[in-house]
Amino acid sequence: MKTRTARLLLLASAVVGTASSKPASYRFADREPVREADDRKPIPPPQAADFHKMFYFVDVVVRRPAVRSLAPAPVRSSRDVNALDEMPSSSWFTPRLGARELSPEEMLRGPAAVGSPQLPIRVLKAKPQGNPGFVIADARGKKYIVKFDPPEFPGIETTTAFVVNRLFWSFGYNVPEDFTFYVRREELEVAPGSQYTAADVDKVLSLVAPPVDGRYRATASLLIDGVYLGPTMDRGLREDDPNDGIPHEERRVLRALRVFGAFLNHSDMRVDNAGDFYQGEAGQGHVEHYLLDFGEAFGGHGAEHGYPWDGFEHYFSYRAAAHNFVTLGLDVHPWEHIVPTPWKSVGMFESTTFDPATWKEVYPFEPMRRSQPADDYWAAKIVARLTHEQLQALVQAAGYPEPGAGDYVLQTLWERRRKVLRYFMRQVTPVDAVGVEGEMLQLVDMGRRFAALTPTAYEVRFWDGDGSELQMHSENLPAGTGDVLELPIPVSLRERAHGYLRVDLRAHWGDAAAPSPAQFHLRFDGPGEPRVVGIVH
Amino acid sequence: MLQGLGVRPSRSLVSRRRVSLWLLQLACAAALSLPALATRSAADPPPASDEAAAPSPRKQSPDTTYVQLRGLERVPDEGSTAAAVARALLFVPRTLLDALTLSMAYGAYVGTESSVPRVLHEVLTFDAGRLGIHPLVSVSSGSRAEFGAELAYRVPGFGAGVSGLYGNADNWGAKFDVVTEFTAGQVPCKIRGNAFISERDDLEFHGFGPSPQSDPRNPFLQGTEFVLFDQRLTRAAIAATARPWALMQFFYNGFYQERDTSDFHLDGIANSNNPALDEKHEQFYQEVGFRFDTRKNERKITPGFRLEAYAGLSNGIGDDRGRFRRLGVDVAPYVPVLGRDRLLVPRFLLDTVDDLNEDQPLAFTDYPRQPTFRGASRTQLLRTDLFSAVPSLEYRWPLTHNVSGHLFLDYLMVGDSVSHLTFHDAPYAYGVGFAIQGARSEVGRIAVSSGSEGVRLMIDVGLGFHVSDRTHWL
Repeated sequence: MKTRTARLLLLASAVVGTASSKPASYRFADREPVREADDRKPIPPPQAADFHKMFYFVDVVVRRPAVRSLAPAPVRSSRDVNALDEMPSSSWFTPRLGARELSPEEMLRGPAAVGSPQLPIRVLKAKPQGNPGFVIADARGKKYIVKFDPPEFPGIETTTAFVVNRLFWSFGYNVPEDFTFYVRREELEVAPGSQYTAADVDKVLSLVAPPVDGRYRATASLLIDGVYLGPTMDRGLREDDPNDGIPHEERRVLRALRVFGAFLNHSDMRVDNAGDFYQGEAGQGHVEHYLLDFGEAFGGHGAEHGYPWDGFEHYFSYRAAAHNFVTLGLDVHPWEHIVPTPWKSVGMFESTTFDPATWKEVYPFEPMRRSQPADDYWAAKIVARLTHEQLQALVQAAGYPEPGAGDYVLQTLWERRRKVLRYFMRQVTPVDAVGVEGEMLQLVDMGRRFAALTPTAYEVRFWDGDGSELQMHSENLPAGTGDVLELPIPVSLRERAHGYLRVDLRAHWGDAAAPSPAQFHLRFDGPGEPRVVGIVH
Repeated sequence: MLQGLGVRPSRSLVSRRRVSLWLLQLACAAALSLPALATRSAADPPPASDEAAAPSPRKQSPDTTYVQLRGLERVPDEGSTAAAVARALLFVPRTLLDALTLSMAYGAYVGTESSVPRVLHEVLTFDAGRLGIHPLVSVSSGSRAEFGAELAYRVPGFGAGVSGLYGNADNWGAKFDVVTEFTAGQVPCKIRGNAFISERDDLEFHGFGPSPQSDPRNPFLQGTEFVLFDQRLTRAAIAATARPWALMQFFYNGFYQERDTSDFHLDGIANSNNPALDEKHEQFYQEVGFRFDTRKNERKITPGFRLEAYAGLSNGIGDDRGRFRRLGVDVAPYVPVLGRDRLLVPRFLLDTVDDLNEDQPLAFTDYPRQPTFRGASRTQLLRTDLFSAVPSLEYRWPLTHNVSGHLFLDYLMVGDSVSHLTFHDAPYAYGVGFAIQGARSEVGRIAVSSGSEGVRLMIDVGLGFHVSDRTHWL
């Protein structure tokens, strides 16, 4: 009996011990938010990563979903954000559109520093992989990868690459310098001493969209400086890079590609469309992370491969297969009704059936699958800052070869932007803090400003630094008519908070409420005004 | 339990049982406590340091990096006790599933022209990935499971492979294939050659006619349902196909074959009139045919119409004076019922044989077979006669991009004339299946059927299925 009692006590203590664990809570230190991540320290050149495409495809499509179904685990919040729930500058990201205004001219220029190829050019060798193309050197000795449109879809990739490359640069990503350029056959001379011959050039040109007025249209992508280390893997760390301190599946910079991908229908997002480059002298350099190859966005991937489900389904999904099996295929999917556009230079790109909530990339990209509402909201804020004028400038400069195609793309982009903002901003309380002035916490409702989300009220609650609730405004903060809010922080509250106050604000839109409140963490325990030390969405 | 049997357990046995029970309970307690222990240790990271301090070349822990970047005092607990326990309990099935799917991932690229991981490269592939090893599996209830591998070499326009399947010492097969594609003028052509040897001891013959038990041609059955026999089959074949028009293909098949049947397991009286008992047959068979197919893509579920017809002639070699003629037709419309990829496929397949030498009766092994009937395995000659028909109705629909589902109903009708083909007493099978499509063809099929012959499970990976030419009849 004594033995049995002892065993029972042991088990009970274990259960109680686990049950008494406190739920997750944030408490921010009193320091300035990090504006620049310190991930460019000098390191020795890391090893190039092993990557095998077919293994990767089966791994992400078949293996990982199956194994994950037997490994339940909550998804953690992104690890690469600062105290204000924003992305600092790093080897992955540079705040641009989200941090400042960008003129259409600046956006058109994008990453350009070297510029487009200058004649005469010499063909060095074949493009390493993928669609037909070359590697060329221009008159200055600068090297470019040259990519053409497929013969069935003239203009589809060159226009898309132009626009999407500059959009991702505007969002803040590292991208190569991409240019649309036109070249005649006689201008494509083979470099002396190269094993590549004129016949090889002719063979490539026979596989691409035919020339117009004797000129082939292509995308020239400046070779990125540095040593290519392979694709940016979608999970884990680069073990031999001490600067790589956050598992890739927990990086917001990669998770946010879910929103940008949905907006642009960049369904071909996968590890080998991103790359790591060691830049600098050996031993003094560091790794920079780039996004590559945008030519199959705007539904081009679906059009070229004949995938009407592009953007709506993964290449393979256990859940979709089970659903279709049980329903005997009698449940007709919305994408089955999509009619292709009359323009060959436009892919499977539309806005009527598009649903940001269910948009999917072709091959499951781990960080995108782990995206959290706070990540999506952050990305949506960036998309929100795109103006119609900026998009119009990009589309016009892309030079769609068919009349009406550019206008259609612009219209579709604008409508998709609206849907993206409307959906992702409703998954959080879309309010950001501006600062504290006197007794007023200054806030701005980004959902109201950009997504026409009109709140009817804000529910407010106050907590101290130990997680004890101090006071709840039963009447809520009235919504007012503008997107700027002022929330009073009475002195009495501050005194009860003992130097640390957490303000939870939850937006209500009629009968609907935001799934979670926005948290604003304030400190009063130092000299000067109270200050916002942390934000959680 | 031992006490209940009147046996008193020894003290050492009791002690071992007690210790085992304690250890099990301790393990459960530890598993329950682990999440709390883990979060407590993670909740107290080293104090956040000033960003302005000199950078260290040593990597920080991800948690330290997070705390510094996020500006936190500590790592928030985002774990879940329930999830941790569930993960622990699912460790074994998860590991097994991981191993199985990992091997699929490796198998996927050894079967393509892509490069392979360095760890397997020297063992499984060489010659820049053009040469590979692929697994082969054939599992079907009612016949022996066989496992094997194929060594294949592929370059554009040419392929060669050596494959083997093994069930046991009396059930095995080996095949050599070579195929080439080319254009003659503007006409795409394909020539395939193969040499094949197989030995089986699980072949069944259920007799002639639609009702074998009462058919006077089957006295050897003598109250049994079927007879088992052994067979060694050696065959060297060549097939040539040309496609002069998009909708039309013409083909020629020819093979030399040596078939040795033996060891009939008879219950009852042996009958010397039984055809092909303990006999060796050597023949040369040639066949010509055409295929008219309006479907744009044979690999996908596509509406259209398909018609195939063939005529063949077999001549005995050496002591074998057998001579017979084959004729056959296979017609199937692919009718869209919802959209363009939910199809009803009513199919009718008719095979006939005509004995041209009355001096030597036609061997039962040369009578028509029905590999498309999904109620019997390929090792069972369930029904046969001079005329054999397999009408079927199938509903096909897409499950995902490269996996399709099938609901089917098959009948198997035989008779000594067309007018004697009847559904009465005809074996039938209905069921559901999946087919997995590769880049060029079907790469796997799983089906479950039920019907007059019972329930069957069929799994085939890495083999061709339901090929309608006679070079693939056992």
